[in-house]
Amino acid sequence: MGHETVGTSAMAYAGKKKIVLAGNPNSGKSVVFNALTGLYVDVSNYPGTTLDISSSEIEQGLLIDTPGVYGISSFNDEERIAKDIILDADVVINVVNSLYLERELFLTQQIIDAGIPVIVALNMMDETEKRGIEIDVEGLSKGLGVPVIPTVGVKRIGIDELLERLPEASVGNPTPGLDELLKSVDELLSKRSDIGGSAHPSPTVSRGHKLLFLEDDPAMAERLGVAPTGHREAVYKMRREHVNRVVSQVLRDHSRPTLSEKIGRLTIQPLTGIPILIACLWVVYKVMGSFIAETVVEFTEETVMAGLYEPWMRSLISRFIPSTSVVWDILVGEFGVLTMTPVYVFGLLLPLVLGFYVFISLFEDSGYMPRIAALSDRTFGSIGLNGKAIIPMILGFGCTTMATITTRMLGTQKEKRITTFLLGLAIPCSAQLGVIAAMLSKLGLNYLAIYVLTIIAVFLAVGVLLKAVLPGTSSSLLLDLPPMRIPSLSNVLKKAITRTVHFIKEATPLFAAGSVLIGVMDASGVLDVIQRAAEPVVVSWLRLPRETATAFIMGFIRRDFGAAGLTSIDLTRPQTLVALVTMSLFVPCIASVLVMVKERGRLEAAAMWIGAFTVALVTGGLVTRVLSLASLV
Amino acid sequence: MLDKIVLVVAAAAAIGYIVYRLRNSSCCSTSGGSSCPQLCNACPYSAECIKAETMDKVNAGDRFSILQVKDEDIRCQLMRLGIDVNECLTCDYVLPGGPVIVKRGRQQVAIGRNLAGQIKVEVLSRHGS
Repeated sequence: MGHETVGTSAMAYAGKKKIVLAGNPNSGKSVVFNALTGLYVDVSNYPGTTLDISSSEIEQGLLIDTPGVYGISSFNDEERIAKDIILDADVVINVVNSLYLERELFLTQQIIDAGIPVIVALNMMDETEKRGIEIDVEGLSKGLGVPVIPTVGVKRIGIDELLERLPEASVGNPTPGLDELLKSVDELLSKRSDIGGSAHPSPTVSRGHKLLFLEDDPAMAERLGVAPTGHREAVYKMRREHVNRVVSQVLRDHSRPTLSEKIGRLTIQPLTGIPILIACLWVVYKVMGSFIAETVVEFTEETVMAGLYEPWMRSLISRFIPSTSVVWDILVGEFGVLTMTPVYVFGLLLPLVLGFYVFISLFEDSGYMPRIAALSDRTFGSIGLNGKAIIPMILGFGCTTMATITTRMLGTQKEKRITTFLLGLAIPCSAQLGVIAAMLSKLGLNYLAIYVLTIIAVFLAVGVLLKAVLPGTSSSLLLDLPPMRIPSLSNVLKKAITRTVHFIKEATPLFAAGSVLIGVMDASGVLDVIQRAAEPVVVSWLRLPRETATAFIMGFIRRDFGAAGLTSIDLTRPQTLVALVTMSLFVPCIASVLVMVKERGRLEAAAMWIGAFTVALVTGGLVTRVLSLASLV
Repeated sequence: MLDKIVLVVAAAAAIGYIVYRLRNSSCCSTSGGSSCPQLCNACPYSAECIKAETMDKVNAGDRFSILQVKDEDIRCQLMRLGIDVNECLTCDYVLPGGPVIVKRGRQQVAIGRNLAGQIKVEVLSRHGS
């Protein structure tokens, strides 16, 4: 799997026909992509985003996947990227979920309107037939003016026909009345080039670009140097009515509510939805905290890394460098860059992060994530957010840095600010969570309850405060609820592995740098000076042993690094709880801070960093005092 | 005699007030969708408008059509999801104090309580009726 930008990937295949796969979210697009490609797939990170774009060379040309979108506009990052890739396509394979024709065909018609040759893969036809929904495929093909191939991606049905008939892809029937409106764009653009208003003369502007301009796409208007015309709604209405007409002619629906619809309903009704959510989180906690953090990590960290790798590495280095030298200490000593870093990253974090991403991918692919968003909308309303904010929050449990980038999906600046700060403050990433879960599971249920309640209380209190203090408004929830379904295991694993690779790539250099820094500080005696300087805070205020300061210094680099550092310190049960609470709320990791600076600016990022530091120490001190008061009672 | 005069004046005043309210009610001068009745939440005397209300007031199982969505961005996003003004929708579920889950065919969309409060709808039939 090569990770590179789409730009470089596309350049490598210059001259090849660009076949772009497009479709709504949950249309089964990735399954069709896998069925079309096979093993050799490039996964590229689209510049400036967390989005992975897969591409693969097939016999017919270069097949490029796009993020699932409802239309090509500029409502969010996914759409902007999908729009760029689709408008640049030679031919589009549009994967359509046959269960939701009316919604899905809006994008199909928009691509047809853009004048790009299209072939439609009418996917999930087995489910459609099973439910008693009849679709006149030939009628649909006639209505749209493009070939329509019934497919079942998971069973590879129709995939060969799709490839065979790819050359038949055609530009299709545009929405009635659209051509007249596009003529007015031509006139506008020719007037503009007459007066020399732009460097782009109108003949070079493609139909797709004109369409997007007509639909008030801000990026396209800027590119063409002309103010938007305000026609978006009129065009959308014409298209929606046209699609509805086509669908009404080809669809006969005799379906009844299915089991997945009934389960979907149970997950959003508070009476059943909240227990289901708690049960799911309990399973995640048990698997992560008990199985992965103990059994798996014991094997990977203790047996493999500490038992086999570390002694081997030490003896290897000792052959070249005497064990009394400072360099030996920095390389393979207590905080050694070749010992502590690989042990933490591969022995401890890798199984935890992978485990967590498997759960997150399961939540996403089963259609459960949007339902959690709907269920939590009211609670999030009290902290100035809407239910959609649960998506970056849950992703934050995977990696806070990646989640901070996804705050772009939120509606207003106020929501982005609140979510970014809460992510940096109170959402522990999977690596940190794994270490915390392992430590908490040794303390017992009471301590687990105090820990969870403290973090939730801080999360809500800070959220309520930010809602009241920050200027601006918050947007309302508007979210499509896809059907609940059993996710494809290969897709879940693929997604989890891709994300874990990203995480490890990002975390390892920081860990290594942190190890070197701590090693040098230890060897030069600076660590001792800092430990003494931090005594008033660590020993007097938090009532923790002096050496805990080292873990907090490690926490400045990454909180999971710091949390891992706590494991080697001898702490009592209350001290462990206080240290974990403080570390959980401690400053965001360096990578997160860099993303915060990029997304929110230096001043805001600095304010968030100082805010998190203060809240962590204040909460830690308060918990110590409450615990000692409780023990007196 | 005086009693009769008082009664007539009172009746005339009442009729005058009703006519005044009907003529000056701002909602009756705004036009709704082409095939839907006018938006007349504030016109309790107008029979054709009696069913107009906001989406946050609908209950699970109610059938309704959207009369007006103020925000253009929201209108466009809804249109892409297959939900347009005058379209017949069903309220699938209302989360207490939370979003309204609306359904069109099999398509389900969660609409936040605040946003639902800004969408004017006409209830076509109540659950169970």
